Formats: sequence, structure tokens, C-alpha cells
Amino acid sequence: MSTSQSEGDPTVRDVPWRHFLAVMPTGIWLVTALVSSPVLTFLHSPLAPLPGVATLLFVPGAAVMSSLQTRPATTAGRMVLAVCLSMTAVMVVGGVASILGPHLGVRQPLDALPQSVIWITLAMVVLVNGAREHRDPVTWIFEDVRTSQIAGVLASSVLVLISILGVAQLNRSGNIHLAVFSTVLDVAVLLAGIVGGWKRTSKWPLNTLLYFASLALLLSTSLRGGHLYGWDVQQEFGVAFQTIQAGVWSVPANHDPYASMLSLTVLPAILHSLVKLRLLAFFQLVVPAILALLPVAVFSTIRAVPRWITSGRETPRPGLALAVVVGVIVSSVAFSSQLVSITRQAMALTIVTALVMVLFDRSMMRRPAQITVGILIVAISFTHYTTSYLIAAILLCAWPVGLLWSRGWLGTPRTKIERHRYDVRSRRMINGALVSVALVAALGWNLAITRNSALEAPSAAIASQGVGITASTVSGYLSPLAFERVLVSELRSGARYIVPVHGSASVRLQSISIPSAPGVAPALAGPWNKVSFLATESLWVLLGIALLYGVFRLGRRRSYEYSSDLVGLAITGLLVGAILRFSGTLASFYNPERAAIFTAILLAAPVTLFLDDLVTLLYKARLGTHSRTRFLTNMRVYRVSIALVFVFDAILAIEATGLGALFVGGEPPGSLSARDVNVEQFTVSGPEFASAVWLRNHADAQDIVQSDLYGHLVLLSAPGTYHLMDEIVPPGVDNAAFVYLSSVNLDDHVSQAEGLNTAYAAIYRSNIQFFNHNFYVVFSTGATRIYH
Amino acid sequence: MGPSTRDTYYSQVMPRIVGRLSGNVVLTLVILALVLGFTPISKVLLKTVNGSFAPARYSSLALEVPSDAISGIRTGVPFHIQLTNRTGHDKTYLWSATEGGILVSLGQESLTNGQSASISVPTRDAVTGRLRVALTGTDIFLTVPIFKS
Repeated sequence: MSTSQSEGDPTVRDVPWRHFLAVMPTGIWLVTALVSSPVLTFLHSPLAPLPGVATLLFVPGAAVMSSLQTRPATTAGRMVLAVCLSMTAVMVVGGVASILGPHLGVRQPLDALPQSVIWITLAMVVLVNGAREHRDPVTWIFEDVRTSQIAGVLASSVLVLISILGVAQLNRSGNIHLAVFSTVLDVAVLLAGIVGGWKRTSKWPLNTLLYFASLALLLSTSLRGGHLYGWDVQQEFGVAFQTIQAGVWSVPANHDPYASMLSLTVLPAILHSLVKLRLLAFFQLVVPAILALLPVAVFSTIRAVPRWITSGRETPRPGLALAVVVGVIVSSVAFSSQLVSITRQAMALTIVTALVMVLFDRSMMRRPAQITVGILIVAISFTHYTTSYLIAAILLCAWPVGLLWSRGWLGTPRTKIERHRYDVRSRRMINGALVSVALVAALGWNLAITRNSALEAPSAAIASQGVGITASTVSGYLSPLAFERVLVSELRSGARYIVPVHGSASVRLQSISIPSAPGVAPALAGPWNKVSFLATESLWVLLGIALLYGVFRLGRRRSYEYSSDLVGLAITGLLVGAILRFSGTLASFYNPERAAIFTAILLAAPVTLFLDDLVTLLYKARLGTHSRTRFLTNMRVYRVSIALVFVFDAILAIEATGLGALFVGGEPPGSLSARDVNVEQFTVSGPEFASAVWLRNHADAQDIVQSDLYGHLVLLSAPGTYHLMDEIVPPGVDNAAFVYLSSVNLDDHVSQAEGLNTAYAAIYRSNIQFFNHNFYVVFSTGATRIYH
Repeated sequence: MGPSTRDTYYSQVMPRIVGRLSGNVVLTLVILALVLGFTPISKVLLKTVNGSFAPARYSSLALEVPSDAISGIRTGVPFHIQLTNRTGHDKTYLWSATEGGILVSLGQESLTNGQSASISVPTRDAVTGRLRVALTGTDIFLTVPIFKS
């Protein structure tokens, strides 16, 4: 460290202004950001907000790490942690400003002027503090960066460039060629990294490749369509928009969980007011850039030996660690296509991975690491309610597991118990204080302060239906006629205020085939689906075996080889994942794919340790006595192990990215399709957004607005005060309602409906004639129509 | 302060991007060129692949008073509709009001991109029934109930 030596320099100590030389890099960074933003704005560059966004999402976190005198071992890990702590700082500053501002006469504390004053003051504090401590925040993070690494970053960013161009082409012309090429390239780069990084001494820039390939995949989804891609993100956009309009965040009177999260309100509002970042750009670009740090954080965690293991282990093969990240994180359906549409969870999960990274990083001292973990736990509660509850539950369960073992209460002989406790004491990270912080943060923020309603629906469902263990958690599709019967009975009991149109009961729903891609080799659909299903499900088996292996290592009472914290986190992670995977009731609120990624984050380290030991064991197997025979055997083991991992990851990645569906036929994701069910279900076009805005401006709180499931997504993009029902089956349409028909309803004649709690769904032929006959058209763009 | 002390001090407090000076300079210039040239470069690239992130263009028709669809319009009393041009260019629209295929009234309106106009639709020759106002050559139309006065 520079601190002790520079403090010993009498010349430096004697001249006060020289202290500021210590923070020159951060000063240069801040001045560059302040100067370059107006210059880029003057040049009408779309990059104008970039210097400001990079500064706000990096420097505050770097300053916190520098103050705590702690940092992860690798530059990639430091950057992840800096971003997560920066998000925390922005949310805290915005939250405090929103609470105190109105009392101090500042009615809109999130507006540009108050925020500029606050952040310039904070920048001064950071510089003065850094000068006083002789520790520069920027240098603290980037100390080991080399020119070649920056060149690698520039070269890898070509992946992102191709991805963006592919989406632009797909959005405008419907041509999927460049988008497909981009996805194939991303998958190929990740698989090449596995091979290139297989040797323990490999110098491949795997962090860089992993980040940019992940970002390219995420952007191919987030930039799709004319507005935002996905369901939840439409409502999140609405909440952020309202906060920007209000210029202040306040506890929502209606207990709305979304509006209770600082990540969806204060964070985008400050980025908008301070650096002029468009709200769409926050959701389409910034959140994916943050989410792409998730696999990097996991990789940084598992490519090193965890902090508890003090002997008897080599650093895992980088290529193997990359294979685990690609297999369980990047190739998960949740990561590749869901999380960019659920931005609150995307940000929260990224913070969770940073938290796990800090827990495992052996280069961070125990006490500062625990303080950092505590800060991140609080940040999670501001970011996403469910993740906050889950992390509290996981720590609460992991703590006693570690406690029981570390106290020697699990069969340790009485004579060895003192020695055992002494060995383990310094290695435990999860303690009662962290568990208390997690519980207070989750319950305090969600139930005591914001009193949001996030738990109401799941707890009511559990109370009325039980956990509902099922073999399959996938929503069932009903035939249109069966659906109509169920729906009518549901409406009779739950929506008595509906006054149906005369004669609507005689209209029958008709079936229609779902638009899908024919595929290049449809004959291979059967075998491919079996293989990909087996590969996906076998991941759970692998996670379970890795956990058992960890328990076995721990059971041998060699605390220097494994950790009770590691096993505790893994057991509870697998338990939580299994409950959410097999509970039909909970699956309606938190889908199993998203639960799986949570489990994968906690189990990635045990899986890597297990696989690395397995590969090492195979290498060491003496299958021949002659040295040449041993060499050949080792070479064979080397090739076979790489090939197995490569093929397994390739299957998972091809399936998750949608390349499989494109090849054998099916329903590829919106990022690889011009028009099919996923595109229609998750994208909003310009005319559709205009229709939603028109309804927001013309329908008031007394009005009922009805649409099908496709239309519901569109209307969420510009929510109004009206009562919205996602149902246009004729017997369920109110005769005075506004009825919105989207592009897919009108052009493809396809409508989709969903039953209570998404337990069942149906696709049927749109009843356009019914609406033409019984309603009048009050708004029309050609592609969309609103009846009244 | 001896040179060695100063060197030690600056080497510890200045940013350390390890590499040859010429490499650092070239890299800085490349980054600067990319940032400053981003706008023209991105335009050329998007044009090359025929791509765009601009929202889809459209024109729209709307009843100025949506409740007209419930209360209806009395024959002879004009009603107002809103025509909007979001096609990305100036456009002249021809519109017509028909009832059962019979022409009731027609008109023409020129709008620049982004402009909206209120159009008064005469209903002097209409009879009781359903009046349809449409933009010629498109699938954009409105319908309103007509009652005899």
C-alpha cells in the first residue's frame, strides 16, 4: 500500500496541497466527466450521458471501498463491487434527500439543481478524505490494469456492437440474419473461452470475454421492439416516470411494492436529472450493463480458492470455472431472456453475487468484508423485496448450520472440541450480526417503513391453497371452449360489475394455431428436445452431488479443506431453489427459472470445487505403469474432460439463447424472431404505445379498459387511472368498456388469455366481428384499434 | 527531497496503467476518436445494415370526444376528430365519411410530421345508422352512431 510510505515522506507531509496529488486520478476522472458531457451534448452525441453515468456508477463505490480499505483480489471483482456500492450510495443519497428535502424547503430534491449541489459536495468530501488518507479511489480499483487489457476491452466490445446492429436490423426490417450471427458468435466466444482457459496457467482475458458476450446477449433482448421488452419492465418504467415527474420519492400511499423500491424510483430519477440519461436508456442499456456483471462476479468468486480453504488445493482451472458460469448462469433461461425485463431483480441479483463474492474472497480482511456484506444486504432491501426476503431467509438458515458445526456439536469428540473451535473461529463469516441486519433490513424496509404489499398475495395464496407441490410448474394451455367455461364461472364470482353485451353468451371461441418458426431441421426436434431437457435437469443433480461432496469434505473434519459457511449457504440455496421449483403456488409469484439462478449463484463455488477435484482425480489416476502410457492417458483424460464440458455447455447455451428453437423449429425468443408468439407477447411498437397513451389521457378512474394478454402488456407501458381487465372473451366484456385490440389481435387474428394466478391459459381466434358489430371505433392507427 | 523519494511517491499515487508509453498514447487516441466520432460512425453502420431504433411510424385518427361513441351524433350536427401525423415526413391525407358505403362527406388535410389537426366532419346527409370516417388508402378508420335529429 502507498499509505504508509507516503506518510513517511516529510516533504509530502509538510506541504498541505501536495496531499491532493494523492487523489489526482479521481480528480482527473471527475474533471474529464464534467468537461466531456457538455462537449458530447454540443456534438449531439448519443454518448453524452455516458461519462456521467460511468462516474455515478463507479466513483462512489470506489470511494466506499477505499475508505473501508478493502477490495477483492481481481480488477473485475473490484469493478463489480464498486458498481454495487455506487448503486447503494445513489439510492441512499436520493432516499435521504427525498425524506429531508421537503422539510428543508426543497420540494423536489431529485431535480437537477439540488442533486448537482449534493453530488459536487460529496465529490469534494471524497477528494478531501482520499487526500487525508493518501488513498485514491480510482487507483484503488484500477491499480493493476494494463494497456493490453484495455485493448482487449475495446476488441471485445465488437461483440456488443454486432449485437446492437443485429437488433436494429431486426427491429426495422424483420431480418434476423445479423441477430442470429451475433448470438452464434457470443456462444462461440464463451465456448472458446472454456477451451482456452482450461490450463491453470491460462492468460486468456476470460473476465472481459464473459462480460461482453453476456452484455451482447442481454442487449439483443432489451433493445427489441419499439419500447421496452417484457411485462414487469413496463410497470417499472411507469413507476420511474412518476418519480421523475414528482421530483421526489415518497412512501407510496397505495403500498405499491414497485414504488417502494429505491432502485426503480430514486436511482433512475437521479441518473435522469443529473446526467440527462433518458429513462428508456436506463432500462434498455444501463440495467443490462449492470446485469452483465452478474456472471463476472460469479466467475471472480469461483476461479479463486475460497477464503476458508487454507491448504491442499490449487486454484481451479479458469476454463472450468468459466464452464460452470456459462452452464448455470449465462445459459439459464432467467438470465438470457427474463431478467432484463425484471430490472429490480436483475439489479438485486447482481448485488447478491457481489455479496457472495465478498464472503468468499480470501484477499479481503474478515471485518471490512463483513461490513461490506452488511451494506450490500441493506442495498438489496432497497432494490427488490423478494430478493431481500430470500437473502434474509438464506442467511438465517445458513447461520445455524455453520454454528452447529463450528461449535463442534455435530459429533466432534470431546477431547478435540477446543482445538476444533479454535481452528474454525477465524474462518466463519456469517454471524448473528449479519443475520440480524438481513432480517431488520428486509422486514424493516418492506413491512415497517414502506409497508408494501409484496407479501400479501403469496401469503394469501399459501394460506388458501397450501404450498401445492407439483411435478410440473408450467402453466397449462386449455382448449378455447374449456377455457371459456372456466372463465365465465370465474367472472360470475369475481367480476359481478361486468354488464355483458346482449347476445355475447352465444359467441363461441375458436382455436387457432400459434405462430412459430418452422426450423431448419424439424426432424431433429424430438431428439434435441430430449437431450436439452436432460441437460437442463441434470444441472440439479450436479448441484446436489456437489453439495453432498461438500458435506463429505466437511464431515472429514478437515476445516482447512472446506467451510461450514460454504455448506450452509449451499444447503439453504438448494432448499430455496427446490421449494420454488416444485411449489405450484409459489411458482405463480416467483417463477422457477429465476429461483434456479439464485440457487446457482450460491452453489457455483461448491460445483466448481467438486468438478475441479473430479478432473484432478482423473488426471492422477495411474492407469498404466509405463510413463508413455501415463502421458497418453492423461492426454486422453484432458481431451475427454474438455469435450464433455464443452458439449454440455454448448447444449445448454444453444437451448437458452433460442438457437435450438430456430434450428429444430419452435418458438424462439424475441431476440431471434421477427414475428412469433414471444415477439408479440413481450414487445411494444410505436402505434401500440401511442394507443396506450391515448387511453391514459381519455379514460378515467370510472372507466373499464379491457384487452387480451397481448394488449395488457401494451397498456402497462403507459398506465392510466382506469380499471384494467386483461380479458376480451365476449361474455366477459362490459358494454360500456373501452376495448383495446393490439397488432397481433388484428393482423394475426390471435388473442391470448390467462386464468387466475396464471394457472392456465388459452390462445384463440380474435372475435373482431363481435367488436365491430357491438362497439364503435374511437381510436385507430391501422395496426391498433380502440373500441368503445 | 531526493529524486528517488519523489519517484517512489509519484509512482504510488499516480494511476498505474502498466504498459509502454506509445501503447498508452495510441490507445487514448483510439478511444478519443471513437467517442468523438461515435455519431457519424453509428449512423453509417445502422444504414449499412438497414437498421434503426426509431419507433415505428404511424398515422392515427381519434374521436375528440370518446363519449360520442356512446351518446351518438345527431344528423346535421358536425363532430370533431383528431388526425395525427407521425410518419416521419409531411403528408397530405384524404378522408371520407361514409354510411353503408354511401359517401356523406370528404376532405383533405396536410400535416407536417408530428402535427395533429382537429377536423370537423359534416353529417348533413347522414341518416340513422353507423357512420365510418376513414383515411383513404389505409386501414385507419373511426365509427360513430348517428341518430336522426
